[in-house]
Amino acid sequence: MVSYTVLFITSVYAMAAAVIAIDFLERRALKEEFERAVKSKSSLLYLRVFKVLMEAAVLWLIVAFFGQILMGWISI
Amino acid sequence: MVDARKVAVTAVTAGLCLPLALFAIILVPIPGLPAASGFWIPAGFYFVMTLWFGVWGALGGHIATFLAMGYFQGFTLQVWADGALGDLIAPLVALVAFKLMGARPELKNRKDRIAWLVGVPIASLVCGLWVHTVNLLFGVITWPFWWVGVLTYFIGDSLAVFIVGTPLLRSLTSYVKQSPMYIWRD
Repeated sequence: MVSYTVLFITSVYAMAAAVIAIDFLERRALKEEFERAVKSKSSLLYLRVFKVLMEAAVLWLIVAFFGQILMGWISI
Repeated sequence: MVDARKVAVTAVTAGLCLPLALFAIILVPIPGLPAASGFWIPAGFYFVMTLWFGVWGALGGHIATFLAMGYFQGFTLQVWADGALGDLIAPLVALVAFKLMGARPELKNRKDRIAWLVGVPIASLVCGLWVHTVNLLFGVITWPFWWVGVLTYFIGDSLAVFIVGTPLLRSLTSYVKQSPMYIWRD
């Protein structure tokens, strides 16, 4: 039986990873439109770059969390 | 002049790197070395921000390391003079390597890639030498740990920067180039 804590944390992480994956697909699909939009509103550029950096950090933290469990350093 | 965009770059870098720095110390500690990590994942992010935006990115890494190491080590002169300053110097060393070689952070051509492959290990080595020599001089560590520290910083920081920084530079630099804050002009 999977504990409630594992179920909840895994669900949140899975949702976060899915959001990042969908965002990646959206970015690819809207590449040309985005480049046009940036020309008139440059702050979009910073939002895009900062968001991608944050997404990379979130993915790393998710991997690190499960890595710690696999290594036996933490248990839930 | 300090403007909102520069403050934003520093704040975002610091905010991004702080949790990564905290967990890097917890996840991959180096026994015998205070608040040190063998895989310094935040370096991948603040190196990239520094290569794009200059000293403002490095300052973000510095603040993140100060807060993360301070959490474990206490907010003392040791933290300022050591880890946090080492993490301010390291990305700037990589930036200087790029400047000297006339390379660009897009990593498009051979010169860019060589600057990246050479600059990052040199920067990590400088950081390791600084951090652990100061630790040694302050009597925080002993000689055997000096070697361990320098070597693990050299390898661990370089690996983290290559693993995280390479895809970020290759995929995002074309966007960042459009920013007026991008420090490289052809």
